[in-house]
Amino acid sequence: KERRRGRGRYGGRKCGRGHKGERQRGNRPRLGFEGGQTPFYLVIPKYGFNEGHSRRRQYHPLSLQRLQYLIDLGRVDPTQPIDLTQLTNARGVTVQPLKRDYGVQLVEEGADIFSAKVNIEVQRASELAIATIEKNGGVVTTSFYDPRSLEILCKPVVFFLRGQPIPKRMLPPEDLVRYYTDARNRGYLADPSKVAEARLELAKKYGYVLPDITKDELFKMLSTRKDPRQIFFGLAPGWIVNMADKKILKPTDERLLKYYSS
Amino acid sequence: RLTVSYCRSSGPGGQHVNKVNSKAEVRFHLASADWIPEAVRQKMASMHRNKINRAGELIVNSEESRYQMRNLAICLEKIRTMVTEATEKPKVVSKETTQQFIERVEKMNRERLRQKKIHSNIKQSRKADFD
Repeated sequence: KERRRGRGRYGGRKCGRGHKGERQRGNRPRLGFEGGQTPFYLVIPKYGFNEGHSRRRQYHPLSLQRLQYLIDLGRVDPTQPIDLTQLTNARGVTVQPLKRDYGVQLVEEGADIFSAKVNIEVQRASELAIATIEKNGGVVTTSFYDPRSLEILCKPVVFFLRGQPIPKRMLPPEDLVRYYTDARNRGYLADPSKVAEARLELAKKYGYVLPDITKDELFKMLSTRKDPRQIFFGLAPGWIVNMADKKILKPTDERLLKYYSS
Repeated sequence: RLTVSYCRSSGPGGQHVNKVNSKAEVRFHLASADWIPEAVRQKMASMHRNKINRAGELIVNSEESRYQMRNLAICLEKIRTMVTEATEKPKVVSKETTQQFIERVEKMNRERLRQKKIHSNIKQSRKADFD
């Protein structure tokens, strides 16, 4: 039989503590101490890698593979414009606006497999992702949502139950204005003619024939875009949605209308 | 006019490398490519002799990225750079510029010798010669 004697509770005899010294007597120094030599965690100098991490904008990644998966399972409807609300309702992505999330970004994970014609609206998109979606005849737009409107977008029902009027979406901060006015990122503030030029450029770069969406039957749906101040597709800022009575209340006061149409 | 084919790339990568076609290869017959001017075609044939096969097709392949589309874009970019390199004319140095270069070199040498003489004078003035 294996040599396991010692008897008693928890081993007995030396109780797995070793023989004499600090080990047995329970007096070992603190974690990280190296017997007097400058420990590793003090030798390495400090550098601000994680400095200000709580002020950085985070975008939840959405791969094209995941999008294809959701469309194939029928959780997301490709015949309607795809928005963050649609994705959240389909539980495709879970966005946490309170954790410095500013939205969703498109990632190229399933670029070779992707084959779906959709009108997508995200907050950031990389070049290959835009190219893949346009190759299959879709439309990509990048738009900005400030944290308050992002929360309303992700959980609309909870907001409607509060009974407050829909606020207008704020414009992006200085560093992001440049990103959203650029046609190459298909920003929502960019010139439509420049966006068309950028589409041709991408087609030339990636070597595919750009499908003409004007001749498409779903062209009207594909070309629907949101107003820069609008949060939801059908609703304008300033309206109150009453869930209990299934009614929408619109403001009639001149000043309010002027403010909300800004 | 360009023949594109995809196949599996080489190198480590496990299951992804084995199953996914990510290597993009673009071929086109160089002599019959009418979208490139004649002189440029010959230049390319001489520059990229190693990339042309017996049938006369120029082959460009790329397996740098994980995505087919990006590899295709890289191939097209490589072809574009090849054509631009072949189109550029050798730099013709005009007579005035050659003259300027020679003058500059002479000036530099003169200045260098002048500085050397000054330095030599300084060192000699420190010498104390008792006659």
